[in-house]
Amino acid sequence: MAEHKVAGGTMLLFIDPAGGTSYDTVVCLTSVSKADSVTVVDASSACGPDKSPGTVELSYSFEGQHLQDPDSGKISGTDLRLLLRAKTFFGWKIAPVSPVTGDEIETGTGFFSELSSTYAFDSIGTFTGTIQPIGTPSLTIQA
Amino acid sequence: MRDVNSAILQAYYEIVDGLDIPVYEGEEPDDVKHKIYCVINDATSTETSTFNSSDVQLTVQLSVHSWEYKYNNSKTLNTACGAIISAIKPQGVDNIDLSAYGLQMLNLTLQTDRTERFGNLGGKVFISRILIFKQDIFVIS
Repeated sequence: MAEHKVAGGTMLLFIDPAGGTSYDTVVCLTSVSKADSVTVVDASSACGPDKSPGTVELSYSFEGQHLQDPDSGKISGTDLRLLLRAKTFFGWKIAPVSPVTGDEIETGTGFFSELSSTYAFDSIGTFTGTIQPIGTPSLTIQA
Repeated sequence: MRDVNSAILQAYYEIVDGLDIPVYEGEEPDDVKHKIYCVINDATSTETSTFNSSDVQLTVQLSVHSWEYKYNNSKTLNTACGAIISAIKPQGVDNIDLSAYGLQMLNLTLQTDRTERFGNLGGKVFISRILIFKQDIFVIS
């Protein structure tokens, strides 16, 4: 595919509790985001103030609506909560369902560092969560 | 900056026409002989270009009209609208493929779906559904 923008709702989060061989889509996602940063190390010396890059910090967060008893190929917010409470390491992937040339694909293993649900009186139940990667995730561009 | 209206209207026209629902662009037909028909109204757009890309945010209104003698319970109209909506946006994040026109559609949503009952006119009971689709358009070339 030629030059193209990233349409809303096309970058999905996939989870494989078994480690990274067969991914399930997280149900009813409304947002997936990535946060990359580099810590700043104070490298000041007698020559004056200075800074240098420290470690790369990565985290991935998502929001969605609860959907219980999902069809096969999907993983519910409750399933994610079970993974958090068991401190399970799992495989994850953030990518389009059917990547085309140029699309960003990121995979890795990690754990949930945070997962929240909201069940309000007059709105659909929602969840938010954050994934902390273990090691360095694989970031590739679809050929 | 390139005009995108012709491509958008043609794409919508071809989708509705493919459903065997009589479709007209811009104007109501002179003779309302079909009990269900669709009129694709003018596209309304706002430029949303970036420093190095041409983009517009655009809405298109599809007016689906139905009439029946004496009684019209809207079942046929709703069936036709269901077919149109499913054809335009089969899944939650689907967009119409505009690659043949050098365009990319993004973020297609059914912004408005409104039923209007016009009552009995000359023995015919008219009901219409107004479907307004909102989308972002990226001009690839």
